[in-house]
Amino acid sequence: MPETMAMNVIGQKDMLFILPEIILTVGLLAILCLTMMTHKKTRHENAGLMQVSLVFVLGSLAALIWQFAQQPSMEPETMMFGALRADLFSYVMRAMLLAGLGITVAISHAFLERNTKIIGDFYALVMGATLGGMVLSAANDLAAVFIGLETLSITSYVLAGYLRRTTRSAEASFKYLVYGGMGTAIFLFGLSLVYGLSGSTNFSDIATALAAYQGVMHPTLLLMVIMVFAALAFKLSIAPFHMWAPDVYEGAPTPVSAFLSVVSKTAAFAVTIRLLMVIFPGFPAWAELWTILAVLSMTIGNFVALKQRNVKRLLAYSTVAHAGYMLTGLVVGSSAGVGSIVYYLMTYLFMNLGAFACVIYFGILTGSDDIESYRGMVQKRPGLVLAFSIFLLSLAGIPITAGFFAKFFLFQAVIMSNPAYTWLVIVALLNSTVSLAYYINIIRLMVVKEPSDAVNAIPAHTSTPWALGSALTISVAATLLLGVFASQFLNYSTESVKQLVQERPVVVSQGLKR
Amino acid sequence: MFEVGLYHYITLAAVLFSIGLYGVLSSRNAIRVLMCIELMLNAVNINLVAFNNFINIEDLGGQVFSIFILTVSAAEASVGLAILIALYRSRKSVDMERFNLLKW
Amino acid sequence: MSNAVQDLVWLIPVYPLIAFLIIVLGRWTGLLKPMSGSPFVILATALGLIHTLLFLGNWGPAYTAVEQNWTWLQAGALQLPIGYFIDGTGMMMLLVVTSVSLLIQIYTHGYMGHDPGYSRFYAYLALFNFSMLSLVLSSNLFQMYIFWEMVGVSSYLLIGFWFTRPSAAAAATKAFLMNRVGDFGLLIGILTLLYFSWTYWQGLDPQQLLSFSQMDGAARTALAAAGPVAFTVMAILIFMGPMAKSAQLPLHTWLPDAMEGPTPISALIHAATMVAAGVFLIARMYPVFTISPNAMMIIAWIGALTAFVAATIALTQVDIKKALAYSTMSQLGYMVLAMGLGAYSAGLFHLMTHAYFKAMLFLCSGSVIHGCHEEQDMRKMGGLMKYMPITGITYLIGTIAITGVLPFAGFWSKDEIIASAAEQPLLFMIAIATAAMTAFYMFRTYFMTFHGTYRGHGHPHESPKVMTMPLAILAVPSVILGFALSGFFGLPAFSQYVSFGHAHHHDPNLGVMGLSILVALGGFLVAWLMYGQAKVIDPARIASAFKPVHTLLWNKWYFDQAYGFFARNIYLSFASLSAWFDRTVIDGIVGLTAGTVNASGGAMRALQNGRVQSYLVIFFIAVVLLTVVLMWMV
Repeated sequence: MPETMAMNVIGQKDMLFILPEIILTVGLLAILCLTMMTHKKTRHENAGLMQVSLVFVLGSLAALIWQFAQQPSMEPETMMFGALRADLFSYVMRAMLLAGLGITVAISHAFLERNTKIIGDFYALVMGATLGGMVLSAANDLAAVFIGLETLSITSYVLAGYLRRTTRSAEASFKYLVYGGMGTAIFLFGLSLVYGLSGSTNFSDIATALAAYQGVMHPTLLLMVIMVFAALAFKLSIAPFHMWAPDVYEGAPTPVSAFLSVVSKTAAFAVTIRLLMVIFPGFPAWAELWTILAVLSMTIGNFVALKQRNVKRLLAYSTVAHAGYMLTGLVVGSSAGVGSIVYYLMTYLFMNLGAFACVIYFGILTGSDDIESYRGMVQKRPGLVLAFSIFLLSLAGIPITAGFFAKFFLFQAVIMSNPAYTWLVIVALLNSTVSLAYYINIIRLMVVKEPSDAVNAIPAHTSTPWALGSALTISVAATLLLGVFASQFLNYSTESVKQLVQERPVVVSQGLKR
Repeated sequence: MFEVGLYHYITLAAVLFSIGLYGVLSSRNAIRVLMCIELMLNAVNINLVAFNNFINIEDLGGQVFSIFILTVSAAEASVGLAILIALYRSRKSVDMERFNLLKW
Repeated sequence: MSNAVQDLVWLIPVYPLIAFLIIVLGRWTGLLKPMSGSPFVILATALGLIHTLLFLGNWGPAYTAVEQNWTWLQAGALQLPIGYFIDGTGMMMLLVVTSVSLLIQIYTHGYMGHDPGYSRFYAYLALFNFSMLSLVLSSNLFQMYIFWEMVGVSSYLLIGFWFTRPSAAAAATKAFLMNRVGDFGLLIGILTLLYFSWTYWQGLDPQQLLSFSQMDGAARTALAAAGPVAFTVMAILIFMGPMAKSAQLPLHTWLPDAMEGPTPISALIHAATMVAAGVFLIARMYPVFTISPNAMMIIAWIGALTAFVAATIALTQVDIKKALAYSTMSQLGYMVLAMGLGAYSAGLFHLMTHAYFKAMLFLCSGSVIHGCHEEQDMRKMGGLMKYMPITGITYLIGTIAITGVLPFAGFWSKDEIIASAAEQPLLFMIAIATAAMTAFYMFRTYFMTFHGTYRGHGHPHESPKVMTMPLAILAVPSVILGFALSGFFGLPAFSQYVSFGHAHHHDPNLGVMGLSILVALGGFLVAWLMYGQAKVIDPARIASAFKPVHTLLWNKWYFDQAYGFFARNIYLSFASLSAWFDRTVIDGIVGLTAGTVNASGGAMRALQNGRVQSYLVIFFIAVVLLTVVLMWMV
């Protein structure tokens, strides 16, 4: 095991690599201390807490970009005794997580001010959760995967129950914990079998050891892989492991739903992609596995979303469907296909967070998350309705929003990589046609006259909180421009995935012949 | 002479895991559900330590991993109990059947 | 000069985009007053028209196609270009779009003058113009698809403009959704075409990926790679786009509903430009369609059936805009029929003449509605010729033009289509029958609206000059365009400019000409007898004599009902299936393992019963099932 034993000390390089994480950790602790020091919890102090968190998040992002700019050639190498791997993929995914965190912090402040007294803990918790996600997306060792995943999960449980006096929030939190706990246990059982087969926790060693089993089809092997990926599918909220998501999204505070639907999911995709590309590339059944899950996820997500009355629940099912679309890239497993997932995640980050930001704002204005209560909103807040419409159209995949380009490149990559999966693309596109029905229904309600009572009660002029406003502006701009200027982002996405495939041809499965 | 081999450990772990799983799925008491999750995690620990011992004794990766799991599961349990207390305050119950406000 | 005009031709769609941005930013910052902004849009469109005319004037004698491409997006081996491509077909579309929309924008000032959403409306108009002109200029299929959808989005905004009425919002939603169904097919078609012709594109300059100028070779490569059956399926998938956009059977029901929008929109989008985009796409993708005889036949039949069915529905309509909408659908059917028969020039010629006279007819109807205090029901009109003479005369010109009476525009173009169907007796009969019905229903609307005595309330009045002037201008092409480009009177024939492959001009088929004039006269006569001054035949008696037919037509062949039934039943069966699944499978298993879940009613959502343990049971079952299924599969 040359990689793990090469260094016995943590050097400057390692420290620089985890500099973004260090900054985030310092920020987290600083926020905790500041929360304890500010007793009065005035508006002023609360706003200060948000600003400090934003500074640390942006500082962390700046450090990441600085680190990235230092090494243009981007030779992948392992860090921290082989626990982490510094490659393009880790940089891209961590940058996305930090961007998602920044937007989450910005959009949550107005919500928190309205609903709770204690604000600082929230920022500390989301930063902690993102920290877990960052470790997860750079992990090169099973233990690191576990630590990252649990840091992300446990903080998420607490976050879901942040409004703990609200029964719904507490219930969401508890359900998430029980579901997540069992998910973790199953995941770990799978990992212990992986360890048993390979005798190591390090990815590259496991990959070497498992290569001996390539093409072997044994029930234990299959069970092991399915246990590992079922738990990840739970994190990705892929049907039929999605059932926690609607309940938790509805019950949890809206910013937390936003965070779970984007940052948590991005981190889960990062580890899924890494495990697939590094450890299990030759596993015989994974194309079939992902095909089944993709079809189930798209169909269930979209069809159940049609009947939803609560916008958070609706968006929960919509994320289930989106995870299903993204899985089509895993099915073909080519670097173009998987790279398109990374690009999809980039666009998804902005459009979904943007949509949730609108839900937060609407919730503040109307005090309700019912779609019906949005009726006639255009008369009171035309700009906000426009922004929400752009996000929804992007989620539905209408040009020239980024959502369209993400879908186009993904499905194009699937067909070009393996035309046997054209039927899967057809299913996905049919589903996205269905999805337009419920997205556009929201837009229709917002623009018709005869406003709901809640809308009537909105005062004519209240100024938008600057953090929420700027986060919305950034999201709108990104949603409109990420697609039109996609080249560079696509390039990073595919290159980062190419680096994961370590001189080993990807075995493309034959597809569902029957 | 009878020797306790790898398979015995794995079987023990599998049985323990299944008992935990059954408990999670069937208990009506929320605390018992949390305990059963711990049971499942301990099954994993047995697996890891056994594999470490029988397959790769030089590298202590498996044992270190199990220490991690112990630590993290303690954190998870404490968070779980805290949430349960919050939930109990509003529902006055720890019956799993009654936590169904959020549905459809 | 000529070079600058040619090199800057991409500015044509940019003008309205700038106007759009000016209005949006102006209203946002408050620099622009609520009821302003129209001059920017009208100026932008006028600039576009002038630019187009300059381009045409400097084009040179050979009319060679002009093409320019830039790299837009790069995704690995895939390079997506953006550019412009102008040939005769594109030029024709540019002229139609810029000239018609200029007149309609002027008209709109009169029509919407007092609407509180005046500048918003103009902003949408500018956005629509931008998308439409970009669509026309597109040099490749991918670019066209982008703007194709953007046209849909902006027309969604324009139809839904009158938010006061929930029916408008519903109509806009329906139009959007139905177009999405077509676009779904189109996108699949594009992706499969890209896959099958990939080797061909790789041999070319990457900036020409999916470009229309190279489509010929791509189509042949794809045919060789895919085989005839798969190729035909692909062609039909591509055709699904035009099917929805041009309101062809069975994706047509959105068009009549879209008449909920303001009348200028009906004229611009649902008569002259957007619906014609479908036919334009067929023209651009002609290399793909022509080498698949089966696809051509299907297209021809869908076109013919659309023309026929729409004409029959138009016979019974009493709403003047709905009648015109079905008439548009029927004429679009003619165009698609022509394309399917290989009569490329004829189809596009009809597109051009139809754009002018149908836009005029719609604007007339708008003028009538305006004059009759927002009344659309023709039963409450009548005798309007006396009150609004300009509108009446232009409407009459439009009616004669669409009916196909010599020498008006519709005669030349429609006649060519009917003549091209001469070799297929069945299609020919449908086309002739449709022509007869066209004459009948158009004159019926004319007589009901402008003759007899006024049956409505209030006093009808002629519209202001700003509305009647565009009508008068549009009347000119409706009269002269046909014979000017027929090839008989000095000017070159339309097919010299717009043709597929080599230009060829058919000699007019005198027999067909005579026949079509005859049936048109027949249609006119019946309409006159039933609705004219004479009132020899009572329409009500006809209706009761043919009760079943009348009911069928009155209900528009029950398309909407069928779709509703279909959608409901799919959902219901889905729901009951999962309810059954929930009741028997889940409850059974859960009952065995844990006994926690009671039978909970409801449909699909019942799986989500709120109990985390039953979610976990499903988790567990899914793991086991996946293992078993994959074991069996691999």
